[in-house]
Amino acid sequence: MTVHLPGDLAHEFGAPAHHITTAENLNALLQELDRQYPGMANWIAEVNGSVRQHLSVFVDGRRLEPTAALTTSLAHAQEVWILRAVSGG
Amino acid sequence: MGGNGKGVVFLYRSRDRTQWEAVGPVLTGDPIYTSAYDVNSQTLFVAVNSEFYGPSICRSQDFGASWDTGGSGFHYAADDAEKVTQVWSIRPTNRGVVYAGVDASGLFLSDNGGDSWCELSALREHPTHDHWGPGYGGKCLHTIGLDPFNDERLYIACSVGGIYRSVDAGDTWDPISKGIRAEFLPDGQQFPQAGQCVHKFALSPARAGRIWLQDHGGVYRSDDGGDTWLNIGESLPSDFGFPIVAHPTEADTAYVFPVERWPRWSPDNMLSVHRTTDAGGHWERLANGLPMPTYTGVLRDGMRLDSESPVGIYFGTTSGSLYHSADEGASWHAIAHQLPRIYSVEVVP
Repeated sequence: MTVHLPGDLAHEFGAPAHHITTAENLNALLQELDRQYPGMANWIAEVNGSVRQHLSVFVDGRRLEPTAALTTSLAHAQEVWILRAVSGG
Repeated sequence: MGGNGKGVVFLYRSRDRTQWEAVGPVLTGDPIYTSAYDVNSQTLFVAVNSEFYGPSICRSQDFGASWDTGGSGFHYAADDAEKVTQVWSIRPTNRGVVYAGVDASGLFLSDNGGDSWCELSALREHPTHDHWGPGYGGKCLHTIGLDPFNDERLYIACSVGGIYRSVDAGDTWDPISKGIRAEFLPDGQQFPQAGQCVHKFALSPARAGRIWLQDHGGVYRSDDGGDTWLNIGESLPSDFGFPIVAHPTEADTAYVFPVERWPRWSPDNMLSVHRTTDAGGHWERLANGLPMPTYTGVLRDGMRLDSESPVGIYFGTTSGSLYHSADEGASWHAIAHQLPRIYSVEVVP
């Protein structure tokens, strides 16, 4: 699947805007990103496992609920977008 | 250097403190609450509090030309009732250690220049932690003081919470707010052990044990490391304010920026710094060159001194003006106007 990162986040960590992965769930994706770009997972998710309040995660066009767990499956996903939510400013 | 609410750091450079050259703006995007400069490593630390990505401390070793991502970040344990939402204070030491204060009020330490952080948990484990709460700006640990005469002595202040002292480099803590009046509590309850709204304190670099303190109503001085406090603010046009700074060499001299309780503007709309040169016995208004009327104030990290001779004073206002004096307040000059609300000012020697 292709993961699209927010432009400013990718720039901050020197990462490309698109990331190809086979991660099975959100948590695995964050761990993968964190291995390649140390510290990035903490910028996307709180330590308690929730995605940060003012970020949105869309999986194949559908926004995950703000309370969605990091165990949310990405097994059959093609496109994941991580976006800055409108609530953040 | 000025950090502000629109996520911009404005840098100004001068060789003679007369002509100023703007460098930047840099690091745009997120609110910058505070900043600090470590002379030893020549590192500029900036607290970046992103609404999207959380808090971090970014660093620059080339006067803002390049920045890093700020290391591992800040967080309490996953099952903690509180979480870290913002960085409010940064204090590098000459031993390579950096301290950081956060919202919800807590203290972190890095022993590798800010690459990774761990909480000094004894502070939040203090029995008086239940008396801490949020002020208007949040529940924040906004001031960290390192005793210049004793490496083991460490001070912090949080709002609401009070001022605390450690004599063992952070292993244990004691509240030292006895005698500081909490005007927002009912009569008969205004002198609690903890729960004061300290706005800022400054340790005197010139006299051991002397602490200057600006409270949420009241300016205080201690000469015994915080064991006792003397109210020295009664002759000010307002004893409410945020910043307080200590002269680097003259032990009896300190500066405050009084504002009305509400709205938080200079009293009578006369923008001015006030100085005492007799340990708080008298206060002198310093406003030569400042405009009036004004409708603005200065936040707790918005005023700094340099260590030149004569001492330079710098302050940034909530309406985006940056002023300085190169003669200890005898005259004032504008460095910049029309900036966003200024949260913090830092001097890089």
